[in-house]
Amino acid sequence: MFGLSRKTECDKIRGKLSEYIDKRLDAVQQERVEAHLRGCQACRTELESLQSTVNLLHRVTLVPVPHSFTLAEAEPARRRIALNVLRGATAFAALALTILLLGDLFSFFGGVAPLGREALPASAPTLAESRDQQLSAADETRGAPTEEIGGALEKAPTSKYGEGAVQTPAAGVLQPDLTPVPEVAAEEKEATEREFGLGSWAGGRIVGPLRGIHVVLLGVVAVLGGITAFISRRQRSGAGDREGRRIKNA
Amino acid sequence: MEEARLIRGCQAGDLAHFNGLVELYQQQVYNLALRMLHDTEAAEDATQEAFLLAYRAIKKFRGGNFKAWLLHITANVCRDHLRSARRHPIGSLDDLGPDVQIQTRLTGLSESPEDYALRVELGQVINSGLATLPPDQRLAVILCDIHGLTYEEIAQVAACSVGTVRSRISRGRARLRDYLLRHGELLP
Repeated sequence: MFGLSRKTECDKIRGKLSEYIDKRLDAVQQERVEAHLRGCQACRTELESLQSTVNLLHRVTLVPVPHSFTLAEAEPARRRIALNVLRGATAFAALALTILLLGDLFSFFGGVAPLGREALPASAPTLAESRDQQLSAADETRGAPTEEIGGALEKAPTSKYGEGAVQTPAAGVLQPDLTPVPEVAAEEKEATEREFGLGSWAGGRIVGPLRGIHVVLLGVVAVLGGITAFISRRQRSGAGDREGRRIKNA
Repeated sequence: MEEARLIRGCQAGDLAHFNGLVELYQQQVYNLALRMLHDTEAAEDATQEAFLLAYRAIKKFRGGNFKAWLLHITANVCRDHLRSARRHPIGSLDDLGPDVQIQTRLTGLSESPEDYALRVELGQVINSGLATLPPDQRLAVILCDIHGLTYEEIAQVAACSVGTVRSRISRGRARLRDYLLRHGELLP
């Protein structure tokens, strides 16, 4: 019983030894500890070993830093501004290209052949109309070929193969002459070019002024878009481990 | 006071003032991280991260013990690193070669080369002994006996009561003492 009591007292005293070493006990507690130590060798040994440990720890010096940990302002603001300018320029070029293409489609811009038929000026005939005109002109100047052909057939002698056989038109019967005259050929060619929107790359023809702008703007959009995407990806991957940080190590 | 002026300056957004505080405390922060993590590379990362977090949170500092506030951030960063290391163990500390041994220097008066070697070896043993303590006890012993903080400051760093600090210091010292006795380094 006394042994149990003494062990409990030792446990309590040992629990106070760190504070005793650090001089954090009040006067009453300090006296109680010192009184116990005077009569307990085990606790005195415990105190000495703890004190030696603390003494060794007190001799540990701080290790010098391997480098300075001061911070430096990164350049995210400037990079962000540059990136936003690139994005704006890309968007502007894309918008200009879109407006030009839409204007081309609905023929908002004068002098440019639209992509659809309905935009043709009324004065410019289509190919079919041009040919109809040619046929009508030929009819007027050369007479009604059907009557002549019919008359010619009636007058033609019977073939040695009998009636009903196919007859070639007799000599002298006029046929509509479809050989295009030079000025009509030129008009037809121009109408064809307008109708099918030539000014394209086919056949190595010269690109019209607005078509050139389309190509240039398309190139600008592609280049700016590529640069913007490249810089964005670099910023995201390069700053991956400092994502969200605006400050970097100096 | 210089520290108060620097704190006011960096709370106003002046990075140069914050760097003044960095220069004042970087050795303490780095050494705490070094002994908590027992790894120089991890300690550098933790120190860098602690100062970055401190810079971002500087406006939330409402006065008081700035050193304890900064070491509190450091302790939290170290705790996160230790948790991450437990989830992804990289091997025993005994596997580290001599190049990775943390040089723990002890102060010594004029001494012979043999005493110097003994002192260096003892410093390494102390460091190894600290690494065997549970993180909470390790933090308490390091802050008390190496960094010289009071129990109240340690309570602020560890975000616990003074009574808990007292208990952790007592148990941590006893465990370290037992480790040193087992390795024959502690002379009675």
